[in-house]
Parts: sequence; structure tokens; C-alpha cells
Amino acid sequence: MKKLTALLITILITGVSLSADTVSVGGRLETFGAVNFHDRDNANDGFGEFRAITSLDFASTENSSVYLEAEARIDSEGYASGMIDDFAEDDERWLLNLREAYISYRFEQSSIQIGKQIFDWSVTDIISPSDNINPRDFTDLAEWERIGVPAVSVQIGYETFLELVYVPVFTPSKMPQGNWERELPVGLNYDLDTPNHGTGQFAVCFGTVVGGWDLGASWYHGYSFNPTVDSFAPPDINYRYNREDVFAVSAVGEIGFGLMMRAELGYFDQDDDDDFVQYVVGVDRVWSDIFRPTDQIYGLVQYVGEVEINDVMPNDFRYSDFQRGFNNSVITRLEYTFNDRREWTLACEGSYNFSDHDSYVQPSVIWQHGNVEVEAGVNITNGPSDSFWGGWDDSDRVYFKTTYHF
Amino acid sequence: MRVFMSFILAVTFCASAFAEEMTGEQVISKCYDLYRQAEYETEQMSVTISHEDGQTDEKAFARYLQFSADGEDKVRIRFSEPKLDDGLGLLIFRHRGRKDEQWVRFAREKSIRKTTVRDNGKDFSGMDITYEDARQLVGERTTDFIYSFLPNNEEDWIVEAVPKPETKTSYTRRVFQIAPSFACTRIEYYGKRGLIKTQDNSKISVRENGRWRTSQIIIKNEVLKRTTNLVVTERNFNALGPEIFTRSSLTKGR
Repeated sequence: MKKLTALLITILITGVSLSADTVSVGGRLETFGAVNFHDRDNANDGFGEFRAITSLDFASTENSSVYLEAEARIDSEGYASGMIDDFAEDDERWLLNLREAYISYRFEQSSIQIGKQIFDWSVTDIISPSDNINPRDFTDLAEWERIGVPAVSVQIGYETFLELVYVPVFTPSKMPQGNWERELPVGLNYDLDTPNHGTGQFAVCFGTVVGGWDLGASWYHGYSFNPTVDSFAPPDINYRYNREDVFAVSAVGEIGFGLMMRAELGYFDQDDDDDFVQYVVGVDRVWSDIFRPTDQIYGLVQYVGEVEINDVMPNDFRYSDFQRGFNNSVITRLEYTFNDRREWTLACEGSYNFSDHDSYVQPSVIWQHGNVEVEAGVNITNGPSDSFWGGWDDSDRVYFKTTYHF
Repeated sequence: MRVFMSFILAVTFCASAFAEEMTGEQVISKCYDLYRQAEYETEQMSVTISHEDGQTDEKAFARYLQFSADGEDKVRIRFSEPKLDDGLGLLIFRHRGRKDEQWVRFAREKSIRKTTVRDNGKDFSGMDITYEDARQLVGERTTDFIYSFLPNNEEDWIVEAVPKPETKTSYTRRVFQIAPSFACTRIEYYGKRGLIKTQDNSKISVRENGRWRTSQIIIKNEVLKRTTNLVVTERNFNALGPEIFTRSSLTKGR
């Protein structure tokens, strides 16, 4: 049945692609290199990766289109291996992959998309209670990305809309590796149970604009992208993906003085795990012409907090939780561009947890000209070993990334 | 050809005669009323920005317009060149009696960000068109400004627009040059320190119903010492639908 579905989608995508009136081709070539400051027993100090991403957009005047985003990647540590053998990804990266591949059809007041897709319902940055559909690739934690999932999505309405998403199979997140792998106490064995395709997931999102405010409400019913502790009987610690219902609301609007406010609040009702309300609220702003004509500063501050409703798991396990590790944290981003040609940008992003006193700082400098972009920066983590960032206290590194866009 | 020339002369004569009865606001209103005789419009633009040091930047973008009789216009801009900016987009909702709204889609991102409209004077994507210009060039909000004629030596009208005290704008005044056909041929933008930039509209075409369009816009920025040359490579009317002016369409980047 799985192969038949994949075959039907392939035929559909091929058919629309061949009948397309316009084809847009784009993509990028990336090199990424990093050198760690600390020696770790289970990882090399250096890391290098080459990545090529190509997107093809076949559009037809008959309101149908096909979008394909293919990726080839190879790295010095062998994190990517094998190649695409299923529409849903597994817990490791592939050398050759289709990041997204879907067909769209637009009607007068609605649209439908079928295939591998990435959804982003977040209005806040980094932590978002509304953003639950796609699992994450945490292999390189500082460079995390969403992973596409096979899905059918239907949107009804445009200004005020309802979007329904059905994801028939489970796709696991990819856990940190190498220098981002958490060091467990000596003698402790880590295991992660992954459901084999699991049961379906469903999400619905309502969005509208009222009085200058973008308002949203969503419900997600499915697996968490974040594995949590299932059982702990030394020397074994077992993790698994629990199912959850997340009811979230969001708002974005201007509150005066050029400040944009972004806020989300979500109630997480998790199977065999804590139930909690997580909220993110913050402001951001742009200042222009500060030191020289057309220069610009962008500043963002967001606070992440939560209220625990039902305490099931010991708090000690929360430090490895990607969804809750930022509880009582402030997240910031500061960016300075020297002029509106944006050739040079200085940026610094970071977070600080007021409860656990752990922190993350990433200063960087970005140069771009023509179709080339070069970024150099440092990832610095700090904190007690039983805190979120403290668990990666020896993952500090300098990195260098070049991107050619075509 | 003779018939066409007669028509143009007749229009010119009538317009000049009528102008003596018109106020500056009426001239500007007429100019944009004629401009806005469409429901939808698509323009493909190629842009060359020449800097003082001799360097040039090449860009290309599509501009989509939805004109609304009640002034609730919508503007969508999508960049395709340089490839670094491919997918960069802007969506603007203009509102009567309350603040406009705008969303930006950054290149290579799968999401959009609602942004403030406060930074009116900020250039979009390094061109000499500010966010405010992108909104205002679709149709002048004549209720926000006080218009008066300035002396002129040509057939054209020279109209000065000064913002009302409650109007939020980055310009202290603008000076329009309006041809007898009511096409806008030039705009001068002034700030607190004097002339900021000039915008010259050339290769102007005027249809029988008076709808005018320019196919080349040259903006000389006196402050930044650079020139932006925008050439319309393709233009279509009413070949769009409302779905392109939505947040979901901006998110998809198409």
C-alpha cells in the first residue's frame, strides 16, 4: 500500500511537471566547516560538509504546480549515508534526498497540496508552541532544520483561512551527533524507541487578520518531535516519542514605537508525560540610519515560560527536552547591517535561562556579494552539566560557511 | 497618426483649459484616478543600481497590484534576481483610516514576518524605493496631504504635496510634475535637509481612457549618490486573481 501510494504520487507529480507552462530552477551550493575548542572522546575536533540543494518549480496555468527540492550532501563524519528509499525519512541523514516534493492544486477559494512538505505555523523564533508538525534535524544542533513529512494539506479561504493537515506516517527527528551528542555519565546506556511509521497525525490551523493583528489558533494531534524519557533503570535510560495534543494560539501586531509584538501560547497534553502551558512573548524592532546612511539595527527579545499542569516526569529529565529546555529563558538576536546593500552584517544571537543559569551565544559576521554569501562565527555554550545548554558545555566551536546561490 | 495627434492635442487643450479651474489636489487626484483604471496589474521589472564608486547592482522583480475602489489596495513584490534574493517578497495591504499592514518573506525561508510600517523611509532591498513609496506609488492618499501649485514655465503642472500634521511620512514635501495628459512625469522628494531624490518617469504611454503608464523610472538619490534605473520589461492587466495577494501565497514565495 505504501509503495502504491508513493507510485501514485510520483505519477501525479511527473504528469503535472510535464504539462507545466513555466519551470523555475534555483538552488544553492554550501560548504560548512567547524573546529571545536575542546577535545571529546567520541568525536573529531573538525567537521566539514558539502551540500547541494536544487529546487524545481513547475507551474501550470491550470492552477496546478509541482515543487521539488532535492539535496545531495556529504560530510567528513559520515552523518549522511545511503539514499532516499522511502517518502518518509528515518532517523539518519541521506546522501541523496528529496527535502520537499509536492503537487498543489488551487481552486477559487481553496487549495490542496499532496506530498512531502514543510509547515511553519510559528510566529515566534526558536521556540514555538504552534510549530509541531515537522520533526527536526538536530544532528548539528546549532544549524537545526525542519524535516519534510508526507502529508495532505487543504487550505480553505485566503485572508481568513482554515488549514487542515494529515500526516499518515511518523517521521522521527534526527538526534545530535558528534560534538553535539550529549555525554552521558559513564556506564549509562541510552536507547531511543522509534515507532515504525506509527499512526497518523492531524493538525488544523485557523488564521485571520483583525484590526492590524495577525491572529491564529491551532490544534495538533500526533507525535511530539521531541523524544522524552520512557524509563530509567540504571544503567539503561530509554527514550521514546510520545503522542500529544497541542492547542495553541498566536498573535502578531504593532504595539507602537515601531515595536512588533509576537506571542504564542500552547497547552501541551502529552501521553505519559507532563502536561503544561508554554508561552512565548517578545518584541522586535528595526532602527535605521544610526551611524551612517541606510545602516540598520535589528533587535529581538523573546521570553519563554511555562506553567506545569500535570507533573508526571521528574524535573531532572527536562534538561534534555528540546521543547522545554528554554523554560524561563530569554532569547535575543541583534543584527547590524552597514548599509542597505547588506554586504556586511554583524549578528549575535543567544539565550539565557534564569532558572538553570545556562546560556548560548553565537556572534557571527556575514559577507554577501552577488550570489555568494560567507558567514563566520562562534557557537559558545555554557552552564551546569544538568542544564539544557550546559549539557553541551564542551561543544564550543568556530564555524565557517560559504553559500553560492544559483 | 493624424487622428491620434489631433486626439492628443485635444486632450492637452481641454486639460489645460480645465486646469485653470482645478486645484492642486484635483490634479493629483485626476492623475491617480486615470492611473488606477484597472483591477489587477502585473509588472516585470529589471533594475540597475549605479553607485558613486562605479559599482552596479542588477536586480529583477515582479510587482503585482490589486486596485480597489474603496482604497483598500494590495501590493505584492517578488524578487527573482540576484539569486541571493530569489524569493524575497513583500505584501502590502493599504487601509483607509487606519495603518497599512505589510509582511516580508525573506529569501530561502518558508515563513513570513509581519513588519512595522513605521520605517517609511527605509529603502527596500537596496533600491531607492522606500516601503512608503511602494505603497504611495499605487495611488496617492490625497486626504493625507495639502496640495498647492508651484510656478511653472512649461505646459506641465507643478504641484507641491506637504503632509498634514497627523500624516506619518519620511518626506517633508514632494513636488509632482504632471503632464497635460495627467501622467506624472517627475517627483522630487524632500526631507528635513533638502532634496533626497528625484524620480523621472519616461517612456510614458497613455491609453484612450487616459490610463497612463511609465516603462522606465530613473531615481537619482542625492543623499546616497546613486541612481536606480527601473525598466518595465513586461506588463499585463487583469491577468491575476486575488489569491496572489494573500499571506499564504507570500509564504510559498510564488
